[in-house]
This record gives sequence, structure tokens and C-alpha cells, in this order.
Amino acid sequence: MRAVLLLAGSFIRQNRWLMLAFVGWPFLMSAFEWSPHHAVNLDDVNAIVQQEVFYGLAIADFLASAAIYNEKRSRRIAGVLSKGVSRAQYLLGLIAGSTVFGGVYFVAIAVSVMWLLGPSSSELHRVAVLIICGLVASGWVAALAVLFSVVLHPILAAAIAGIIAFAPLAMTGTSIFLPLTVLVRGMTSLSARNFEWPSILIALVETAIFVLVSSPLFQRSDVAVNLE
Amino acid sequence: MPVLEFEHISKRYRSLFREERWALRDFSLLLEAGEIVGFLGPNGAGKTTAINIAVGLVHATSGSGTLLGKEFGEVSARRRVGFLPESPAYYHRNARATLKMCGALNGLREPELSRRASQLLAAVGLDDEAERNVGKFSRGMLQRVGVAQAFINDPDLLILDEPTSALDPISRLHIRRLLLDARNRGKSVFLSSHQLSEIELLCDRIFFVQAGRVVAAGSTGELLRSSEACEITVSNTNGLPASAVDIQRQADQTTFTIPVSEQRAAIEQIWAAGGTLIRVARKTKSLEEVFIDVMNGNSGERTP
Ligand SMILES: Nc1ncnc2c1ncn2[C@@H]1O[C@H](COP(=O)(O)OP(=O)(O)O)[C@@H](O)[C@H]1O
Ligand SMILES: [Mg+2]
Repeated sequence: MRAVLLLAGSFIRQNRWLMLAFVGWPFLMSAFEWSPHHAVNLDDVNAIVQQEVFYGLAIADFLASAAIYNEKRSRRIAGVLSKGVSRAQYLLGLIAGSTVFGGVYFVAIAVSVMWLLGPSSSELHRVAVLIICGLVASGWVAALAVLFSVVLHPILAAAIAGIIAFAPLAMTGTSIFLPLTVLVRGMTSLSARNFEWPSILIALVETAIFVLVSSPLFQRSDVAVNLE
Repeated sequence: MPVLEFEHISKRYRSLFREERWALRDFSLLLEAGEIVGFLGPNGAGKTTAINIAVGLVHATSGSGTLLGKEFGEVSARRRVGFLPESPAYYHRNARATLKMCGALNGLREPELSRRASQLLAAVGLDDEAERNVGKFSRGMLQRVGVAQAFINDPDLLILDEPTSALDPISRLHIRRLLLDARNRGKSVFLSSHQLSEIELLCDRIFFVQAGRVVAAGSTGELLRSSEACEITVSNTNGLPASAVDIQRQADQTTFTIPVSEQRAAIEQIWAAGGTLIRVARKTKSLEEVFIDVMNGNSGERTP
């Protein structure tokens, strides 16, 4: 457990500048939207949040799918996996790091939206939905991306994970086995006031399955290879 | 119990567009506790591959092995091992934090972690650079960070892939001290190198690898003595044995080399001719000569 936290911390530390930029982004968007003269348009806010949520999940996809490749190419992976760290812990560290990255970003979205709309109890609830669903969705995307990156080139892994995660969102309707279709709708719709517990649960179970499948695959792979 | 054992390990590297390549072929080696063992071989012999298999970074194609009594790849064994990769690379943070991260990954906790980090930074001569970002370090400095982090958990077995390849003489001395001290405390050290002088100074035993196999092994002393020739210096004589080679004359002294088996006959012949014996010595080889002999396949001591 401690190794996972250390690895997640190290992952976040490496991406701290990118994270800072991402945290600033929703506030910048809200600042553009805010006006002292009239109340903000809810539809506009909704559109902005929708966009911001998409960026958050996309960055989780890219960070997670590139991580192993980057660590191999920089040879830093040898310094980690030669220690008392299992391959599964390593993957969990990456996924946890990507999830926390996403989580921090979703908190920033939530706070920036509260700032626009003004804090009220119903808004607080909405914000909680945004953060919890955002965390779960980031973890799901990151685990999926890591799964593909264990066996594929990172660009291919990011693309496939991205298609699986985002293509269903373009269609109408939801699927219980594609939890993102429910979670993202809940996060981006102002009328959603409730946690979609079944979808959250399914997302968590699927995340665990992704980890369980990728660990033995990663276990079997050589990590000290010449990528050039 | 051996601290490290390779049993008939073979490793094939495959890649999509290149032909496959056997880095190790039926590679066997056994390392007992409490010695410094050198792993010597030309570039591409398979040293790094063998080491990476031992620490679980790479998997053998066939064969098996144990690290501190556990199958290769087991996490609990690695926690008691100190490992220096061939070209160490670390996250961009200061040297002290790097060491502490490495120790923490092996389960070390404060205040032990800070204490050992400071101690080791001093031991490798980096105490003045401890707060500098390792991303700005030279290759030699990185290698010293690498050696220090290998020692952070006070490991029972050190596996070092070319620990002194980028180092200046002073740093080499630092590291030699660390290694000898570890050995004196009962730890085992396994180091690869192609720097013969370093191996000769440090190692109790040497394994020669070539093309993925151990081609010769022996204690350093034995290997260096393994010459079958002796050198004789005489004066006041003209009659040298017929098998004398390498004859050098200096003033009235003559020095020549003959096979050990003919040493006695040669001495008697010189005395009979009224000569004076000045010096007889078994010729020692330099490790370089041993290395070249072994690589050319002229070694007496082969392991199967
Ligand atoms: N990842 C890899 N892919 C393909 N071939 C490799 C790889 N790593 C090493 N080799 C090959 O395996 C052989 C042994 O390499 P290595 O173990 O690095 O030798 P050494 O450390 O003794 O110089 C070399 O021929 C090398 O080219
Ligand atoms: Mg090597």
C-alpha cells in the first residue's frame, strides 16, 4: 500500500506543472463567463462544464497510457521495479496518480462552478456529484488506458481507450456496462442531482477488472528493453 | 545457501523487425554468501541481461534461478537486495530525496531513512551536492547516487552493473571502500565490469562470460597464478636450456622463461655448467592476459 502511495505521489510530482495548468483552466473559463451586470446563463455554464469534464478524462487517458512507455524509455522504471515493488503495485500507483490528477481537476471545476453560480445547498450537492463521479470516471479511464498500454504502443493505447471511453458518449442513450455514459451525463447536466450509484459501482468493478487483467500481462513483460 | 543462483538460463530477445538474438545460452552460475564476485566479459556478453533477470526486470526464456533463496521475480527477496542499473536514471529531484524514495520503496522508514541517506551521501562524496537536483548531475555523479541508493536498505546482496564505469579515481576509491566494508560485514557483492584493474583489486572470485555463457571461473588469486611458466635469472653461464624462451640479456645476467615442468632440470643444468642462480619465480599473469586467454579459449579452468 505504501509503495502504491509513493508511486502515485511520484507520478503526480512529475506531472505537477501540467496539473497546475489544468487546475487554472476552469477558473479562467469561469472568469470569462462571469459578469457583474447579469446572472450567468445556466446553459452556458453547462456547456463549459461539459467541455471541461471531457478534457479531464482525456488527460487521464493520455497520461496513463504514456506512463509505462516514458518510464521505460527514460530507464527510470529499472530503479523502481528492481526494488521491493510488485508489478501490480506499480500499475496501481500509475492509476492512482492519474485518478488523483483527475480528481484535483474536477475539484477545480466544481469550485469554479460554485463561484459562478453562488453556493447554495443544491449546488453543493451537484458539486459533490461532479467530484465523486469525476474521480470514479478518471480511475476507470486511466485503468483502461494502462491496460492497453501494457501490450500496445502508447499512442495506440490512448486511441483505443479513448474510443471505448468517449465514442458511446456521442450516441444517445446509456449503457449500464459503459458507466461513463451515465457518469458523464450526470456530471454535465444541471438537472442531475443524484448519484448514479449502480453506475459508480459498475465503474469501480470494471476498474478492478482492468487492473486484474493488466497485472499478469505486465508481470510477463520485460521492462529493461531497448526501445530504440 | 547460495545468495544468487542461475540454473541453465537462456534468454532470447525478439523484436518485430530484427532477427532474434540469444543474449544468454544455458547460463549457470552460483554465488555463495560473503564474497565479492566479479562478472567479466566483453560488451554484449550478456552481463546486463543476466543481472536484469536476477532482479526481475527481464524474464528468462528458459531455465530458472533464485535470489536470496527465492525464485527470481519475488518481491520479498528484492527488498533485501541493492541494485545499481547499468545506466541509472532518476526522477528530477534532489539527491537526498532520491535516496529516500529508493529506501522507502524497499520498506525503510524514518528516522532510519534520513540517517542512512546522509551517511551514504557522505560515503560517495556527494554530501555537498545533496540538495541539488539529480537531473543536473553528470554521469559520474549519477552513478554515485546509484551506488548510494543501492546501499540504502543495508542489503544482504549487492548487484552492481558496472559500478565504476564513469568514475574518477577518488570516487572509485570511495566505492571500493564501501564494497569491501560490506563484504567484511558478511554481505555479498556481485558486480559486472569490463574494467580489469577494478575487478582485480576487489574481487575474491571471477566469472568470465562470453556470448551468453560462463566460459571460465576461479578465485582471483588462482587465475592470476594460473600461468604454467616460470622465469629464471642466472649469471656466468652460456648454456641455456633448449626450451628457454623470452631470453633477455642484461650485463652478465640472463633472464628466460621455461615451462614449470622443466624448471628443475634447467636449474640443474645451469649449476652443472658453473652458472649462478639469481632468481626463480613462478610467472603471474595480469588479469588482462587471463582475460584475453579466456576469451580466445585457452583457459585451463573451464566450467561445464
Ligand atoms: N532489449 C534488447 N533487445 C534485443 N537485444 C538485446 C536487448 N538487450 C540486450 N540485447 C542483446 O543481448 C546481448 C547481451 O547484451 P547485454 O546483456 O547488454 O551485454 P553486456 O551487459 O555484457 O554488454 C547483446 O548482443 C545485445 O545486443
Ligand atoms: Mg552491460
